[in-house]
Amino acid sequence: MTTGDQKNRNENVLKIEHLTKTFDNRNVLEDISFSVNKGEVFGLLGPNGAGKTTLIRTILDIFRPDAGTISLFGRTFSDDIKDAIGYLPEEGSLDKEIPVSECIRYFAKLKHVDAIDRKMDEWLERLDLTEYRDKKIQELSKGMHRRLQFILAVIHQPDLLILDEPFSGLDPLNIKTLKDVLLDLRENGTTLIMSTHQMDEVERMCDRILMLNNGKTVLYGSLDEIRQQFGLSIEVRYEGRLPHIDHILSINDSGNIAELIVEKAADTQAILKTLVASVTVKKFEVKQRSMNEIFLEVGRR
Amino acid sequence: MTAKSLVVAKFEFVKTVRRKGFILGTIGLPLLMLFVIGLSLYTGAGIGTGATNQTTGYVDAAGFIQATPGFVQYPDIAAGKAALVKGNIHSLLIVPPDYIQTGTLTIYTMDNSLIGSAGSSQSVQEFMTTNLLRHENVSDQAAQKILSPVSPTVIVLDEAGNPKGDREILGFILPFALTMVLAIGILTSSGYLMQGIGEEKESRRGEFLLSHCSAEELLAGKILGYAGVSLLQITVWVAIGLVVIAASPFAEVFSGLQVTWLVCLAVIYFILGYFLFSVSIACAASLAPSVRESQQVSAVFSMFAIFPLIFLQFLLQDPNSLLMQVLTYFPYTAPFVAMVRLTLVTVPPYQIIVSIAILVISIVILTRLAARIFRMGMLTYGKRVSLREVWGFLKEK
Repeated sequence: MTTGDQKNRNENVLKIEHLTKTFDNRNVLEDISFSVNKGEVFGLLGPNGAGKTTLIRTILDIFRPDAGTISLFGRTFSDDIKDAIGYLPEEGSLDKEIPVSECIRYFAKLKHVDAIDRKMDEWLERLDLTEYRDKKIQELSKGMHRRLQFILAVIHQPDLLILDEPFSGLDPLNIKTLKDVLLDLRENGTTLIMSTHQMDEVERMCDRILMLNNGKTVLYGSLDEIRQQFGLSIEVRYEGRLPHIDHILSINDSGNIAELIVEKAADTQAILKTLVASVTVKKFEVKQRSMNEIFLEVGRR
Repeated sequence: MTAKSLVVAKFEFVKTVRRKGFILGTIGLPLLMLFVIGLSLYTGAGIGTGATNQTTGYVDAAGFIQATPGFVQYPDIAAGKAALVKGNIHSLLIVPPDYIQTGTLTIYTMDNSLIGSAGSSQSVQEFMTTNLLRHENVSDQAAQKILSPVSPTVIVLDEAGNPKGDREILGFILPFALTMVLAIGILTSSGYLMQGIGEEKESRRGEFLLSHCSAEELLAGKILGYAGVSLLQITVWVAIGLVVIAASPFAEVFSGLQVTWLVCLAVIYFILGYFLFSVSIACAASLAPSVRESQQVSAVFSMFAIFPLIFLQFLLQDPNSLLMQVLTYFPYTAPFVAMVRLTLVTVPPYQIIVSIAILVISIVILTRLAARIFRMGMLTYGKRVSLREVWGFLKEK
């Protein structure tokens, strides 16, 4: 990473401070603060109903905050800022009766795109939809439809791309294609905010995350920072009877294989010594906890 | 009006006018109506009667009927029935010996459609009246006057007592026609607007659209687009109507028609009325959970559109009544009631000025509120929105 890249990374594309959004006297979002840096992939996580979609809609100025501030590219929301953002919603189908090319032209014009046809052809080719250019949308499969929606979200080369469950309903091949494109966009300076339940994708793609639960921030930071907060996982294969071990948060014991969740400050060597003194240890593997485990644990709170 | 609104308007316009339903409704419907009118005129003129015998037979047992064109006498009922069965006549009239005393007749026919109406048909009435008058020694000329006593020439006077010309009378007819066109325009465009917004809501496309433009831009674009659709449809209908008029004997009356202040007012009311109804319908459609339910909601607005027709009797009886004055100020009835009143009586100018002012203010306020309702309504999927929720939408910044 060059110095310039580092500088870009520290530049806030999005900065939210003390955001609160209320519906029917219920706080759907409560005192949310976070920032997204230029060029990073930012994960927006949380169980269903946590407030992710409301947060995205508020960032897009579809909803207005009841309290707090939202700054995009260092400014408050305006029409030209809207044109710098791309959005791929989780749900929604396009008008089935119109041809693919007409649909792309329509949404591209709404974003003031120049040379629409050239960009359209490039994106159709890249996402393997060229032969469907003049066909009606109703002729597209679900995966093709999703890829078309993706084209609509990126044809104006947005500086910030917000993706709500981008991989939902896609087969592994389509997921790979989309991921490759997303990584290319990131390389070219596009900042990505990705809301997803697929924790393996979060681990592979995201630099930092924000996790919401019941409208409140429960986790925020880089993946490494968050994993450290949640201690370590130790997989032990053994023979005998497990002894009492200090600094253990939980044990998932299957008889001769156990997963020990230990405090972040725990001394793993001391734990190994305690085990060796009581049982025959055949395997002892210390791992950072997966985002999936963390997600489940936080979601249960 | 922003560039994005125009993009939305153009997209909605092109998408809708390409639909088969629109093409069929715009061109097919008036052509079908013309065909039906033409067919009825053709049949009414008797041109198409070759296949059906229109001659009536009669048996005169009373002994006072004289020979009349179109009527054939038979010596007895049996001979008349035989002619009827053969198709030589389409009905058989039996005048009994005591007809003068009783006035009772019997009619035989093989045509089911004549049951109940054969005796009261104009030709039979005229036939019997003429023969009765002859029987009473009334001359044919006097008989003709009795049969058709009035052939009026109506002269409409202006406020100075001078006769009005055809074109001036037309100046009164046109606003009334424009009122009807407004009602039809609102009914048709509300259908398209409802369907368009309903489909977008059902397919959960609203959120994606709102990430491309604001609710105000989207709403304005849709209203403008569907206004264009409605205007195109009405233009085609009017054009077809004008072509028909040009080919008719009334063409002379319409030539060189002057645009009067009444027509100008009609156009103003048309535009304001159209926008008021469109904004309201767009709101209602965004709140309805499905296309089907949104169509039910549109029926409420259709009621306003045809309001003058429902209360036409009261409107014609006393166009300046308090009720009609109030309805002239109420935004949803103002375009129709004001225009119909203007065609019938002299309406004080202040009432028209206040009425138009209320309409303009209503549109401005409603558009601001509508954008909030539309924005939130489009994102409320699959459920009915309660009044409390609508109130919440209105409080949204």
